[in-house]
Amino acid sequence: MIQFAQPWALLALLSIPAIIVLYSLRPKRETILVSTNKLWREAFRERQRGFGLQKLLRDLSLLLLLLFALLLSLALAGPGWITSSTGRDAIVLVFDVSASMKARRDNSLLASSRFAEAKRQGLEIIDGLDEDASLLLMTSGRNATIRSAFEADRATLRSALGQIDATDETGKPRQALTLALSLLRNREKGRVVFFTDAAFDDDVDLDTSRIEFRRIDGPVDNVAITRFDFRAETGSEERHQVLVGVRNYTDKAVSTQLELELNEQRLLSHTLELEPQEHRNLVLPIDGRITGTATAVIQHEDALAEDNQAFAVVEGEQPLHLLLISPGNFYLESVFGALPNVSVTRLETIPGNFARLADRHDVVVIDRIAVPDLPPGSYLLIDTLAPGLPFVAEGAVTRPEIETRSDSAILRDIDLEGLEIQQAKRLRHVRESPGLQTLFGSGNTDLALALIENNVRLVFLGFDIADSNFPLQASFPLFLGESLTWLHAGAIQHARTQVAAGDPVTISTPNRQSELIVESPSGKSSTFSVQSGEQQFEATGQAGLYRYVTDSIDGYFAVNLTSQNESDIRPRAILPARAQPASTTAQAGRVNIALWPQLVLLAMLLLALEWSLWCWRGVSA
Amino acid sequence: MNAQADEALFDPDFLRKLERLELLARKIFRGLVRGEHSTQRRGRGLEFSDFRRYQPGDDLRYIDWNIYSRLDRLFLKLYASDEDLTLHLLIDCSASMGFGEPLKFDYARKLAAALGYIGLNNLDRVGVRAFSAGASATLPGLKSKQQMATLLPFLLKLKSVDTTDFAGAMREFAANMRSPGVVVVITDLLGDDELMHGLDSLRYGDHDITLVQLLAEDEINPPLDGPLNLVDSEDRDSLKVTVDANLRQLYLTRLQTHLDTLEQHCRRHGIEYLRASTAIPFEDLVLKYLRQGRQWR
Repeated sequence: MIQFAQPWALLALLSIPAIIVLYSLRPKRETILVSTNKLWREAFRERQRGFGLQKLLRDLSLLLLLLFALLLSLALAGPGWITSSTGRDAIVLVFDVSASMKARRDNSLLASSRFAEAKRQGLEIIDGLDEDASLLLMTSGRNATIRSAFEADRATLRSALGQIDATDETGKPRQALTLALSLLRNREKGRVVFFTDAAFDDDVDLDTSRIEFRRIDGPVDNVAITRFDFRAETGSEERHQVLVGVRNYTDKAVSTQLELELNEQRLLSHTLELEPQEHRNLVLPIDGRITGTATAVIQHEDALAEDNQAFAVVEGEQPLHLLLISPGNFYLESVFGALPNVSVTRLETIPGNFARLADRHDVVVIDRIAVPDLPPGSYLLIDTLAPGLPFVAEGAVTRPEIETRSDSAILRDIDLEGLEIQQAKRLRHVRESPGLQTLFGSGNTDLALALIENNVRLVFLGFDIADSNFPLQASFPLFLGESLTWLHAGAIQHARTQVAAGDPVTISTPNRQSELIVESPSGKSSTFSVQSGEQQFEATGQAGLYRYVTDSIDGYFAVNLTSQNESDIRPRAILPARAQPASTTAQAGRVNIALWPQLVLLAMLLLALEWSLWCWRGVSA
Repeated sequence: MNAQADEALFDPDFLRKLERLELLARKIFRGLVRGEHSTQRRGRGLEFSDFRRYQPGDDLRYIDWNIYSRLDRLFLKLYASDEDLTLHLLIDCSASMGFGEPLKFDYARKLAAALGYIGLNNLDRVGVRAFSAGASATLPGLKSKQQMATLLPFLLKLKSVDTTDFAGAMREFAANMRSPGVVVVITDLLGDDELMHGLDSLRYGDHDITLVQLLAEDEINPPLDGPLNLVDSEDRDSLKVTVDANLRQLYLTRLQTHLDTLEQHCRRHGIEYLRASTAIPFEDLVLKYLRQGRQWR
């Protein structure tokens, strides 16, 4: 039986009479008077008799054109041959790899996980695959992931399945099933088998006629850590609070021990008494300056052990690395040395590896020393200029009076009232620069400027501070501190300290180009070549502490299974009844075999044949 | 069709050519135009010239009974006869003669004028008959050289129109001729199905026949190509045809076959056959063809 997907396209058949009309149109004949046309008539008759093949070929050409138009019209109508067929079966196995699948199948000592059971059933299907069937493997976790293409080779499928494991991620089964069904769109025979514990709230009522749900059951008692975090108390670096959330998913009251460790040292231990289904958030104080990695564990035997522990990273404030290049300046050295969390490196001259050195420091302060071209970075220039700046010095101004000041954040809370300057550079702007801002100035010249241009952040003081009473002003250290804060504003946290399993982590490196190594809790290392100062790391499927190492940074971030949805390992989703028996044998069904490709191919062949005939007639004439 | 202006057809240059032709023709025009020409004629005459064997149908009055009594065989006596020869010029005036460059019709009229001039200069009678399917024009019995002044205007007034009825014209001519003569038929002889019958009619009249077939270069090598509607100049029959190399070759084959058939028929029946293209100067045709007595292009 043939049916047409776009029957309206049959209107193209109207091209057939058009072709006939065009073909029948003769070229306009010139009328010529001849003495006699009798001999021409005899010759014409002879040709008609003896050369009937030519006539046949002319008609054949028209016939071919008509056939071409007919076939093309039919192809446009989208014909399909409906037939029953026991053709190639296509199966998509979707495995729920969310954290709840790690729960035990039973309470025995050597109980396997729910996911292990899912894999076992998947292997059964693979082993029972018909020769003319193909199978595709998918996982449903934080993202739907195809793990193998449609494959008929069982060994390949077994190997691919062997590499699939459950994760600590939350699941999105609807997304995975939608993707699975799309892979079967053009296959009349095809089905999805979804292995899951149904411990999710997603609505998976899709085109369920093609989805077979395999529910893996098991014990549902679970007590989980739902939250674990540290924070410093406001206004104090010496006191912290730890926040721990714990939930009892059972119908019984439980008593459990919560233990916290910091840098693998026990921090505290706390007994928890939880009512059935109770969710409790604990806030526990911790004295002292703390930094490092922390672990929270509840000592409780339940079906899902993965959520009985959580991880956190406690980081102190990162020091600012400052490079001071100065022939010697007591005031600068004193102020920078007194600033909290500032690490100062002193040089008296510009070194040969200035660019590299500048790249390795957060801020470079250059005092009264000739400056070379400035590489990208943050600079405080004091009574010195660098090539390429939008301003130059032309002479000097004696005893400039401060007449103007901006509302820049650098000058926030800074009083310049008593500032006296003996001599300052007379500056002239040589070009427009949108990132240039005058911080304060006199009527004759700018005295302090801020510039953001071409990856350079710059604060410029146009006078020797020793030639002024600036160092003696209360505003001097404030000015330097605010300048450093403004100059160091481009610095960002190296990494978020805690993410949920499956979420990506962005790791920043001090240098734009660096090598970054990330080590997972399982010990697997990944190396990245960072080109833009940051790298996104996505392999966070396993809960635990991840270590990362780059040039000058050695840090950690924590990945936790802190999803209440996953810790609730009770089957909650309503799975439709199995629509098809769990069989891998090929089943008879209706197949719609598209015919348009064949029709188009045949039409093209006819057109090529007609063109060949036309060429041949032209040559033979 | 570009008909040569009547004034230019027989211009002074043509007349000078006629004079030269006449002088040359005296030397070479043997057996056709001399007033004292002797010819073998059956039956009549005053001087015995020869015997020949009797053939069924011959006049019994001329059987030599003496020979029969001696040899027991029948022979006829032949007598020489001095008589004036009449040159009959038959010109095809059908529409098909109005083709070619120069026009076949103009060429035919020049040829007729030349032959007529030679004949009149040699004291022969010259008669001119223009024929076509319609009414024909006749100029009988011109005798002297001065009557060229009658011949040329007559030829000038002729027009090539109408269709061809060659057989009918020949039958009519033959029926009206009391005595045999020299007949020169100037025509193109294309396409008429009754050509042979027409020639046979002339033969039955015991004339000395010369058939001059004129063809235009466009008929010999037609410059036609592509889709055309060929209209016959005489009966206006149209033929839609696409002329290509193949069809052109078939036409030439047909033409050659037609000409060969004509030539063979003429030779078989003692008719002098001359074929010429109008590309050949008419005076050359007069001289060379009349000298050689064969087709020349």
